[in-house]
Amino acid sequence: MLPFSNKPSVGRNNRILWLFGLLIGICPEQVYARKTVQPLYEEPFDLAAGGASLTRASLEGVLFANPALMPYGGKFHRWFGSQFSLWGNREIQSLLKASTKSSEAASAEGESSSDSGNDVVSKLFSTPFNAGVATALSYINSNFGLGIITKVSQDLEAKEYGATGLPTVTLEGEVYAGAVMSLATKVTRWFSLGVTAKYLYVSEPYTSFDLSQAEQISAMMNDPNEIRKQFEPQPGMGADVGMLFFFQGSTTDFRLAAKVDDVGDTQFGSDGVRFKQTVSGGLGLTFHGDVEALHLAVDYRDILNAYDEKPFKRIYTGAKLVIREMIGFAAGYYQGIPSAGVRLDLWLLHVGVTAYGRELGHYIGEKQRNLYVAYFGMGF
Amino acid sequence: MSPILGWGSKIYRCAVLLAIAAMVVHCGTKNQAEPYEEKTNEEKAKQALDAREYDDAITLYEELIVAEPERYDLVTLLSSAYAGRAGIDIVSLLKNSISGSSDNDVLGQVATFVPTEPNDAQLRDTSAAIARLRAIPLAERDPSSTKPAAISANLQLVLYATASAAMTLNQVAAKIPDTGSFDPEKLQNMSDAQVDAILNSLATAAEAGTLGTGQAAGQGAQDILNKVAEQPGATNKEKLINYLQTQNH
Repeated sequence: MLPFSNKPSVGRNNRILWLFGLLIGICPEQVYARKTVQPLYEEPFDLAAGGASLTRASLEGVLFANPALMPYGGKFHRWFGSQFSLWGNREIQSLLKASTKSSEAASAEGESSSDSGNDVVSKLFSTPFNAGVATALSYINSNFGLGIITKVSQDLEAKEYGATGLPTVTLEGEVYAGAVMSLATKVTRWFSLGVTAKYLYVSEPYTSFDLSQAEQISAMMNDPNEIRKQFEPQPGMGADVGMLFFFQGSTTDFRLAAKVDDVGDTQFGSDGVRFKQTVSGGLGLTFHGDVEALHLAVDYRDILNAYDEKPFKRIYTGAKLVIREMIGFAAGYYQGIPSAGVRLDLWLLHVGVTAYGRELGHYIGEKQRNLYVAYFGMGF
Repeated sequence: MSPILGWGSKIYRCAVLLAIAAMVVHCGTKNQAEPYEEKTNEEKAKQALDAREYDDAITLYEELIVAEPERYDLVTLLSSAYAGRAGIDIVSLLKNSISGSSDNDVLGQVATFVPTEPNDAQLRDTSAAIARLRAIPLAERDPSSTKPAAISANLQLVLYATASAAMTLNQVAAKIPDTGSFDPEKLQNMSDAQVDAILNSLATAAEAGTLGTGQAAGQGAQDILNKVAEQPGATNKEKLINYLQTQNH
């Protein structure tokens, strides 16, 4: 069953508001997070809808998108279950084939590991590698949510002309794990507030070699421990605050959301990654009948541009069509890159696929990744 | 009554689905915000370089360096653009760990990754790349300074200077396919200016190699210069030809 449907709310307003603030102290200038304005965790169906999730999100995505969404959905119990997702870039198959062939040829002909590493590096010049996996376990009701997530992703790319003109191999990663707890309440029938406290382990390794360091590259690619060291995460605590205005009609709903992420900044370790405080806003429009609902949404994240990024990286827009709470179609533009996906809900089990793109660089086309996500989950 | 109930609702759903499908299929993976993005000149230059649009990259980097002459990272990128336009395959050069320790001297190793019959424009571009790098103050090119541009600048200087020597030689004397050696008749047609260009390029590579990065290739260039000096002959041309005739490139 797809939660967070847009049937008219029949639940009783809950006027008890618990403010749960976990703030961290201000820390000296540190490394800025590479994830920037995207939520730490994005539910794959929300990704398919362009990542516009401030005014409507799916499952555990609510806890990271906007906790103020929790009170709206028609019933007290919203979701208890888990989800597993796996993704890779569209070119990954050819890269893995090249890597396998290189290893087999090296074993057969007695080539050195350095030579087989060089073959994979050659392929990386035309085919970047990006893959990851995420898991989530969550419980959500109208006023309370608890989630545990892990997310690991890795991006490997070779460029003919690096930052100073030499061919360069770059390895970037994202490792996020931890727990979040959200509280929310309706202040009035059409306005809700929510807060999320989070305790996370975060690591965002970044390593870049130019090709003059060929031995270093081969050692890195042949020794997984070297790579693992780069991914060692550091802990930190932070909080998000969200609000939602929800004007509900018989067939049309209008939503306006605002959220402050990482209130007061979130620092991980004494010299680790720092998530900056950002302010985001979103608009949503829903047309619904008896069995279907069409959601349209647009988010503008980091309105104050704390991460100093271009507008295209801060705009997320999309649509979701949900039929009988069993099948959903979504499409949108994630950072301007088309996205789409489909999801099937079969009572306790749901499965889906999403195709979307993400820009890892600072300008359009610098480091775009076109990704496929496959996911399944169990819950009710 | 809701306009989207009943049969109207079914048609409406189908229309929306078709519209979504059409939009996604039409747009593919291209970022639709590109026409509205304002790129800085530096971003445009890097994008042109990555796309191997060397003419545009060179024009933009030249303008950027005029505005910020002490941005030596821009100078290294400009040199890469010149070298790219000259046809130098920098990826293969670095992947193959050019050194003076193989059976071939560095000229023989580098010759594989540069144009086999370069034209004058390509030689001019290589010279421009070298000149730009040599114009960087020595302190800014010292790899021990830990500045990324310093390491890159020095290594590029070694590689491009060696490449320039190899390209001049390729232009002068094509190799005999069966033997892989230079055509002796064409070697005799070398001008003094071409001989000087080859030897000066090797000297530049040798000098830059002494700073640290590209040391093997720089040492290889110095070895060639030493062996050329030991050859019999009254002029640099005679010595160089005698040396080349002792090598199988």
